[in-house]
Amino acid sequence: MPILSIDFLINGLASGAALALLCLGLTLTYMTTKVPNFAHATIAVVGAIVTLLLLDWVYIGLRGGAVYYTLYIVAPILSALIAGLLALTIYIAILRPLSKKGIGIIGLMIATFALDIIINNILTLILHLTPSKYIGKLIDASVKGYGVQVYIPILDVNIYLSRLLLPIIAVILTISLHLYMTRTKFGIAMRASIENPQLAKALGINVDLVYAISWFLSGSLAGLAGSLLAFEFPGINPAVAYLYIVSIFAGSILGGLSSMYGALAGGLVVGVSEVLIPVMIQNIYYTITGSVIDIIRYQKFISLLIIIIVLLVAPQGLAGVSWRNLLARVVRVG
Amino acid sequence: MVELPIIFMELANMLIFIIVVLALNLMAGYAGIPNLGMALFVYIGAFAVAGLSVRFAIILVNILNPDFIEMMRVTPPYKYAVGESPILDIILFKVTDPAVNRHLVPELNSIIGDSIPLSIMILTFILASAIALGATLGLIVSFTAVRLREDYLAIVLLAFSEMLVQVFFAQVDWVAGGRYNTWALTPWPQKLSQSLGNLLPSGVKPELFIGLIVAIILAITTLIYTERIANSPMGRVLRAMRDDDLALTSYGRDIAKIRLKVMMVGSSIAALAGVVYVLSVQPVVKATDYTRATWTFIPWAMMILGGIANNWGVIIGAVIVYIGRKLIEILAPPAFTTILSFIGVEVTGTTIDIVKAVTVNILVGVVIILVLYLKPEGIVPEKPSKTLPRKTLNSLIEKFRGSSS
Repeated sequence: MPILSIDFLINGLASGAALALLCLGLTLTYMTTKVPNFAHATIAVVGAIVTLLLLDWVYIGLRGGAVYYTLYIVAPILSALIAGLLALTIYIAILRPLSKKGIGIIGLMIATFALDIIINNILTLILHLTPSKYIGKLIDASVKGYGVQVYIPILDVNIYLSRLLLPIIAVILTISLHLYMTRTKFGIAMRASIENPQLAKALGINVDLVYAISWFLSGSLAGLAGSLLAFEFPGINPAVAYLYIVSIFAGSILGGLSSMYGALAGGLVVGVSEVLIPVMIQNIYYTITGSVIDIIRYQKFISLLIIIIVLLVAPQGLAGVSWRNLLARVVRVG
Repeated sequence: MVELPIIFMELANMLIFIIVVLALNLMAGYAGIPNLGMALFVYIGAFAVAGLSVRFAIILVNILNPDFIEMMRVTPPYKYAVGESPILDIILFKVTDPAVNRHLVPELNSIIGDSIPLSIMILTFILASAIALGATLGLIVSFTAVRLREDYLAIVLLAFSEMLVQVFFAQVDWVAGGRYNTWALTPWPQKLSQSLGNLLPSGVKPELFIGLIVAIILAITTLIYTERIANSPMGRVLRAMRDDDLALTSYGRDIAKIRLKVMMVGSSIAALAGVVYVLSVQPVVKATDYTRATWTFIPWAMMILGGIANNWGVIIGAVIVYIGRKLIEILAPPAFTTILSFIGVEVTGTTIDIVKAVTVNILVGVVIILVLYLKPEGIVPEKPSKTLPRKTLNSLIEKFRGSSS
């Protein structure tokens, strides 16, 4: 048995790309408004549920190519829009007024914690009460269950299209975000407001608008990732967000919570290792002892381990390590 | 009409929430450590009664009476060969197996109940292990982020709580039952239960009554303890750390050390609350029941509503939220049933259970946000501490001594 197979690699890459998008969103709002958004995973679940609702809605009515267009083009865009609007509403209706009233960081954090549970429970209620065209209630349905996904054969293995799309979308978004941040006026304004909000205000930049946009962007990245992650879940239970948020924080802390590129790298590392490390350990254990151990259900422990190691060794994360010095030192030693 | 046992149980449950909120208030209210992992510390107390003390009790009973395990060998779920020694296997792995656990715990309970010294030993072990586990876990969990900003601490506490309770304890079957229920010991002496049983009105279980008494004692002790900390020089240090840690550092205080100390004390109080919860209200322990919605979120709502950093305030908040939660749980199902049948959605038992939990969580969340927005200091705002500086105190003492002599 090989230590890794191609479908596990693609699976890990997809999970890493999704987590990179989510960590990017979390880090973006943390950098601008200094609030760790505990509701971020739930916003991603909103994207997944929008996809499921849309699929259920078109399932009987549309046939053929229209279903695929809905699933792979309309659903991600719609999910991104709705989740972005939700995040924007959270910021404008709740966090900004609270912050203007002088509530400290702990209060804002608790507000997002409360929002997480509120939104999550509303979603649970919706899923339990909405009848599905495919199976009883929506809570029992899953995107997989409709049997309309597209498989792409690569080296004799059938790969979900959604798993291929996630890394591609992540790369495209990273490039466009880089261009946006360095080449456009608004991107430069955003970087200025992150760097020094007072000075940016003095120069006539509308910092409030920049913050609002960053929340919208963060939400829509989460919605997009959630929409494509919906294909992975055996059933969409909003409670998955309670554990998923730990992975998002792990990736963001690894990234340093202070740089977008750090967040992308951190999310990628955490997502890939969560999928691949348990499988590798299992396969190595199998080749050595010949017996099977099941440790995939403990995969989320890797997130916790990463948080612990990063905070103990380099609390500034990847973004805080000065790579040039490190490289110079390594070269000198070598 | 509401039955007496139900009133007793709700009262005990409310007192347990009061203890948890007082512990949370010590950590989050006074010391500014945003503990989003309360569920973990309450669960570890429950684990001390259910998973851990059963193992201790087996060892103890086996030392006193070596035939105990031999006797267990005969009962169906064990099936050990004659030469094999089953004790290690039972203590390590089989204790939490539901088939074994269901037989073993009542057996142990009756043996422990018969002898007063044994039950005192078990009780001491439960309390000591809960305190030790709570303190150790509080130390380990907060150690990673204790030197960083508060938001890192909150993230780490939340991550540990979710991972340990909902993944480790809920998935690894042999440690604490995992996916199955485990029964906790009821280590009260038989004589006490019997004589109480004669005194109490019919229907009230003696265990519940004893649990209620223990909850009352623990709640009062915790209140006195936290009040004394709050009004001591230590309390001033904690508030200073919460308000401006940089200033406190420049006065030569070690922030990390103070935080670790507070985390150890607060977590062991929360673990004791978990012990009392299992002993009085819920003797069946399952990790997935200790969710963050119940044991982290609701205590936070109680604290924010009552008034952060005011012990009497958080007690008032706890009473209000607890009663409100009970009222919602009673009122929401009939209201929703009417609405749902009006819309035409089929109503089943599980739907009603979900509606109950969902309504409570949503409304508690709304209360948190509204209180933060409208009255962030809570119902009873924080009061200045009543301590005098040590120098003034000393000079006052000197003055009184001088006037008396």
